Amino acid sequence: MNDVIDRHVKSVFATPAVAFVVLMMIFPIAYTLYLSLHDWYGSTTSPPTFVGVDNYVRIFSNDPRFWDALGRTLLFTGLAVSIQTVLGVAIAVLLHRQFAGRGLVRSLMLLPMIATPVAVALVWRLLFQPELGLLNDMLMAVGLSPSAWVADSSIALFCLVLVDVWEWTSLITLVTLSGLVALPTEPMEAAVVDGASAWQRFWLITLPMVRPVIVIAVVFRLIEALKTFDPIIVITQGGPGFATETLNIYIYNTAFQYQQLGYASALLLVFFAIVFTLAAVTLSFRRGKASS
Amino acid sequence: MTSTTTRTTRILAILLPAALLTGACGSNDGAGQENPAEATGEFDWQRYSGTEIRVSSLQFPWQEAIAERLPEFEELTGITVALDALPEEQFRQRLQVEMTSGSEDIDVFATSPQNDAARFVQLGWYEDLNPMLSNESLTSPDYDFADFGEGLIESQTYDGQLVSLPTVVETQIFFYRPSVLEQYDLEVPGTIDELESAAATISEDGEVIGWATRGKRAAAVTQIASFLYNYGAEFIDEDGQAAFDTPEGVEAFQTYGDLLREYGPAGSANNSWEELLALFQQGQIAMWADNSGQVASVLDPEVSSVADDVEFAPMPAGPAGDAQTFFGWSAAISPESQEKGASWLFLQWATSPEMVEELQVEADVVGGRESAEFADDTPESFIDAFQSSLARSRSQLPAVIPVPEVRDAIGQAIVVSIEGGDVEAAVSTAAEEFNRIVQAQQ
Repeated sequence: MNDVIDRHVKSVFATPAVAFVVLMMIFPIAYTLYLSLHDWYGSTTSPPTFVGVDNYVRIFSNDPRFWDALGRTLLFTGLAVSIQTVLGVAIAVLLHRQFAGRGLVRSLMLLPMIATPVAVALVWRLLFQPELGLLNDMLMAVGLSPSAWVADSSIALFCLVLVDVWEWTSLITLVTLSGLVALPTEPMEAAVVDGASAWQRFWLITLPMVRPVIVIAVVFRLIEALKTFDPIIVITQGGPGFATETLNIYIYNTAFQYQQLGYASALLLVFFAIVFTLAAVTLSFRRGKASS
Repeated sequence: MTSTTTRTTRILAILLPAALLTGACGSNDGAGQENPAEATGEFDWQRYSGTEIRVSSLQFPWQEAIAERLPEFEELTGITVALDALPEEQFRQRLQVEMTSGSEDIDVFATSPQNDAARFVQLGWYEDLNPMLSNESLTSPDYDFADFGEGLIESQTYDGQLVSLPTVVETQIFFYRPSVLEQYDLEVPGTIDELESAAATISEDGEVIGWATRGKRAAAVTQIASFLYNYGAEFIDEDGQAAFDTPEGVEAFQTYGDLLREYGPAGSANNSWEELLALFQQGQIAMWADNSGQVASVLDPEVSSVADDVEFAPMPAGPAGDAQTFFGWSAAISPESQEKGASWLFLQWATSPEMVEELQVEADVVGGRESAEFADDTPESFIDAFQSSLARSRSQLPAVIPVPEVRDAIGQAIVVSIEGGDVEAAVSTAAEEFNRIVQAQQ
């Protein structure tokens, strides 16, 4: 017995990890692929019916809700991630300077990110409440007219962007800050000697040097923002109407409200392809710049 | 690169299939120790003593009242009951996940036949109750099933199967605060036009909200039913196709949305009954239409500041009629249950003539039994409004299989109307969606 283990020690040590990957990643993906080629409503009495690529044909030819949801997902992600990146980098540069209480401020910055997402979303839901919420009280206190916030189709999605920015800007800050700390000081000193202005030093030296780090942070945020679920399901459930129904919410509804498990699987795989492509494109941007 | 994408893969892909994993491997034989339908001998409440059942429900007054009385059942039968309840939306979602996975954990569950039955029957999620009902060894001689009335029994019957037993019967009811109507010298509105002018008068001051009803996508659909019927429109025609996109239907949608936009609470498009109940209990709403099941929470002085300032009426009539609408909750047994006999005893106890009357009298939870009396202190106006409405009521939902999906499609048009958009276009889009959905799934 011991001989066997000794001889195959590499595979013995690798087995648990391999088994985990197969069980927790490959099987679910394979099963989702299988379901996506079937019609199944979750019946305990009748098995899934094979329909070939019908589900995929329906996504691309006969499902306006999918395209609307895709548009909203991209808009939400694009807005949220770009605002977070600009704010996050700016805050990181600020926090990189020496000032009293810097450690405390840095820790405080992280609070929104550490809080439980569902709890945070519930608080925002109360803040947005048009009749009882704090935000309208604040608007009226300064003499402005109240807003319906997330109950108004035309701005609901932007309210959710606000929540996402509030919650996740500090992630970009955190990652950028660690990049800034690791920068060599020599180029900066040389630039000061050469008489570069503060703006030039930031734009031409600091930013290009931390860019690879920022891109990593952006990719993380991009993937997470595309998949945003908790705040939307808690604050608006995709409403009013379908005004905040992103792809993830649509897929969730399709699977768990409408019971169309086969179609939801097809949607999931298409969604996966979209996330994968966007992440790959963003990352290639980093590599291209870094090697040039 | 590789690590981030594998991570994404895992998170994305795990959600759905993981839930289904057990379903694929689950077994389908729901047989317990004995097949309860074949039980013999005298009827005995103690027959299944020592067993344990799990009852899953949404949080609503019926479940609260039953939860308080569970010790009585446990003493009567020796059966232990674990009752768990979640808010409606979460309850529905968890039920679907558990049923899809073929879980044996749920024995009894709350269900709304109008919303669920066509789909659930197709999926095999209901145990047919007829064999147990007709077995004298299992059903108490005092049960008096016929007391539910033919119409109600029919609404629980699909393809000859008795899928559930009614627990709560609701009609749409017009709730109002008499003190507010008096303050503005207003009569109780009998028509939608009168409702509109009353709401306008009350809202003008801005002290209380004149009028409220649901505006949230799917939730609002049950409440617009009376508007549709009373403006001369229908959800569906004889062929099961959308029929609400007629000029009458568009007018119903238009009126429903206009009333809420002009006189309703801010943010109506996100309001379901939970939000409105809270506002009404706080005395912020003068007139409110919702289902009669809210009566228990409205009349409870511990949670409602308007408990002694509320009266009830049938829903005001429209230009083409004064139909009223109903909705019902029931309890059903899962075919995967290992304790069907014990579950049946629970259903029987919870819907027995004594219990239905007790809940009606002590908790203002109205069940479906014709023999059941109301409490002496139940407002006369509620009993009148409820009984006269029930007598001429129609379903709050269209009779199609994919009800949740078509509710979302119709609800979208309601939201557009509340927000003052192009109602005619929205209604015709909703009708197209409706037909597309129904056609794809029949």
